[in-house]
Amino acid sequence: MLCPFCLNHVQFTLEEGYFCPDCNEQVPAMYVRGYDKYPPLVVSAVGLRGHGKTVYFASLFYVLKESPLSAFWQPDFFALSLSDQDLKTVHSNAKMLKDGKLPGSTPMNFPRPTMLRVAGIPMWQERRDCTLVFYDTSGEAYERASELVKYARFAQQAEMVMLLVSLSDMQDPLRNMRTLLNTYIIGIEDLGGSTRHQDLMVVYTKADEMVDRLSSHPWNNVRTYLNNGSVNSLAQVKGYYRRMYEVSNLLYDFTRVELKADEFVNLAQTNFRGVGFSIVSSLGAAPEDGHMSTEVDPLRVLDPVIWMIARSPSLSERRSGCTEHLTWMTFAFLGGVIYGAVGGILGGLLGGHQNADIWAMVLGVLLGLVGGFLGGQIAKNWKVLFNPKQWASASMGVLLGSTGIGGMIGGIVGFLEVFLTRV
Amino acid sequence: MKAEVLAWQHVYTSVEQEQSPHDRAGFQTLFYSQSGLTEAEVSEMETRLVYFPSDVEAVKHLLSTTSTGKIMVAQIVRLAEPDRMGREGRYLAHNLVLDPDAFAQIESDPFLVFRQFPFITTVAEALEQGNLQTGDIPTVHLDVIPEAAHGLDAAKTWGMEELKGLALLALRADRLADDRLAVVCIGEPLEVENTLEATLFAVPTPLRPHCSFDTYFHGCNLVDTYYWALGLQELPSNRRLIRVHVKSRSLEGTVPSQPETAYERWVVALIQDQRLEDIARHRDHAFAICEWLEGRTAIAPLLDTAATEVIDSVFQINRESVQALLHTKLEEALPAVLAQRAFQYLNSETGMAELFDQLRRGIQLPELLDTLYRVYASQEFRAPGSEEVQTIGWLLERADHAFLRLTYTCWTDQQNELRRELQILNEGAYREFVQTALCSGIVEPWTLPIPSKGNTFLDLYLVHGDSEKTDLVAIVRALLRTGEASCLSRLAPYVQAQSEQELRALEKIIAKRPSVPEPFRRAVGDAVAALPPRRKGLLSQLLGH
Repeated sequence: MLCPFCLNHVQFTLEEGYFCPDCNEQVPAMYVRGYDKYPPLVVSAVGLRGHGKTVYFASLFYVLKESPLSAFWQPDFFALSLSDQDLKTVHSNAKMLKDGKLPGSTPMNFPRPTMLRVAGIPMWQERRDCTLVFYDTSGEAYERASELVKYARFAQQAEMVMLLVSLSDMQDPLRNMRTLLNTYIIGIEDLGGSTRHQDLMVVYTKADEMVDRLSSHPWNNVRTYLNNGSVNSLAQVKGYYRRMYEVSNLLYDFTRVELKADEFVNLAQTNFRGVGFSIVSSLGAAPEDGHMSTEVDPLRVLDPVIWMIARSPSLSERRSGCTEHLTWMTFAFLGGVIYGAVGGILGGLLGGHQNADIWAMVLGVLLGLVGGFLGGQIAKNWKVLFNPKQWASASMGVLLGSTGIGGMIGGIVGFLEVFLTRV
Repeated sequence: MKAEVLAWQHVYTSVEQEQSPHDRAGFQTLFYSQSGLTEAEVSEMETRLVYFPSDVEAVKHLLSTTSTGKIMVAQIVRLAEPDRMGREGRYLAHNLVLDPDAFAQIESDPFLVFRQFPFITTVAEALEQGNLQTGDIPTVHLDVIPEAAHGLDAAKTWGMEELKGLALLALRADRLADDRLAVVCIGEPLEVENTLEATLFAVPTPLRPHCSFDTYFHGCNLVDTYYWALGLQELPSNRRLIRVHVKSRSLEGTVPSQPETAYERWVVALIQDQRLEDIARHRDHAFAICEWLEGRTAIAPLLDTAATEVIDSVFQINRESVQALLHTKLEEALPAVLAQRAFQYLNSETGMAELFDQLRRGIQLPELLDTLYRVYASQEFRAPGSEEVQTIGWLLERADHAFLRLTYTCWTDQQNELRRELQILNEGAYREFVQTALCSGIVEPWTLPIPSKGNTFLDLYLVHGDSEKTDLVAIVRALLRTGEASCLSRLAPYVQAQSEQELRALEKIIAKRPSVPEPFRRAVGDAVAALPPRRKGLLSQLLGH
């Protein structure tokens, strides 16, 4: 299991609470006990100083805890803090925004995570419940790769990284965006990871300050989408994900055409598993002197999170144990049958008329095992295949079981093939 | 006495671009003393200078050690002015970095620095001292006046059991760090600082840098930046952390109660005896002695200058350790049977300071022989078992000890050897041994006279033992045999008291010795003449005598 504090994969020890054997931190019991049902998703917001990372997280907490989402998303939705500390962080941030105040600047530090269990988002047919693990550090940490390595190594664990960009705070967006992304890629490589295993979500923040840039066609569609993107828009989930996807495409064009950030886009597409675009306004309006003069009205702040949950490979793998395992078993079975049949025929040919049945059985079983194993593995994600830490023991059991079954059936098929057609 | 030490400076804060030597805004190292600090060290120190503001306008103090061994003594203050984006949360850290030796010169006491050094608290001050072009800031001299009373006063506010617990936690800072456990002081930052001062009170100078702390850890992450002690205003979520409730003066969690090392035993014993002043005064010397006692590296000058009372208290409290060390040292030098004999003596008869001195120098064989001699002397030279006597003979082949050798010859009844050994002795030594031998009765007196020392022998012999000198005949024979006839006249007064049989023996002995002085001869003659006439036997009567 991933320790949210030291980010090592460990087996937590139980002793009046769950403790990480590496860092000795006490991990919330709910995190450990619900690890399979609510797997952790690291929410990593990358961005330069003052581009709204902390405010965005505060806004997310505000939306998840203070908005009427649970009324919209009946009957299952809830967002649950996993510890007293998390509860306090989420509530204090939400309250701060509610009171019209803004969080201060974040110091450079390797942050403690804030964990929030999110369940029952009705965007998908199957459940994609998870534990969002938020890490917030200062923008200075992303100015140099060496700082990123020191303060933001949590980013390596993220399946999707949110690159928060405030165009209004950039003197040279082209260069700044490219440099930020480049720094991030170097940092992750220096940490021993690879961005090719991550999705990138470019999140344009402080969208309320982008009004001018989004006034002309077709970008005005983005503006409309944004303006209609208060929390209430989430009441209508049908087509939400599709609209989000369309806006992502529009923002992709915006980035290329309006910002002329082709190199940035190319860099992103080449170095990440997938790239998406989103636009948010964490507060709904620009603050004045660190305070909100109007009530906070977050716009589209949940989009990046929905996108992240939707595209999370680990959630896909774990989304339904039964379905997932059946898929594997099917692949294993088919692989076994095919290889077993080939093995049977080969056995028959090798054995000729003497002991053909035994040859067929032996080779059928052997090749069936190989086929079953390959079939099962193909069904799995390659990333998971090469990262044994992510193999669940149940998955391995099912895989081996289905491989065996596939092998046996393959052997029998081969045997029958020889027996019926040659004897 | 005032101590003056040199410190490198490091200033970390959040500034606007035009205030930065690096031409960028935000949190950064503004200045550092480039003469003594490397970029890597500065980068490492930055990770520890974290401050999250809260409703409490806390001044954070911290002590830490870099991976290169330099000591950080830092103060962090909140900056009231928001940044250009209107965000609060700015702070300024002024970090004094000391060489470990320099820190030791101020008794590794960071609280002295916190109280006495004027830390930079504003960006303007920092900009005034640093060079904006190069990012350099000069070193600074710390003039520190020791204030032992502060720690003592802080310690006195705690109960005995709690203070013991705090002291043991501090003395085991390394072990806690290995287990990634920390002591969390829950309370207001100032109270936390007082508690830490009380906790460090019993910690000797060399161990203090291990007790890293942050008086206001609010919002920080122990996983990334470990401190031995943290100040928090609320209970930590991790139940394994040891909790010190500053207000109620109570401890919670796995607090050690039993001392394990010599120094811990010393501290705990003194706390129990409420001798806190002694801890304050002697902790460094006591620590050095304890480290030496347990075979670890100790600061030699401190061992050299340790006062007798410190040695006494450490040795008395750590009697078992001292005995174990003494036993080990003796067994290295002596066969077991003799080691045990010497151990009993040294353990009971030797003063602590003397023993400390002997153990430090290493016990030499000649010293051990002397000790053994004194052991036997204290037992009035009663002959030990034959195995022990043989072992002494074996030992004397390897190193010499005149008196022990003489004792050995007495126990093994080697009279010729004894006489030969006695002849080697000078006047004083001869006198001393004869005196000892006469008193202890280790050997018959008549074996002791040697040529040219007849008078010396008689000086001692005549004042010792029974006044009638019942062994006069043997003594006279011995004196005559050693050519000391001239001093027989000193025995004349004792002749009269001899029995008839002895008088006749004396008469016979001196009859053919012309060298016998006249007074003695006359005394014997008179005494014999005064004897009643001898009854003649039958044979004499027959022969007509």
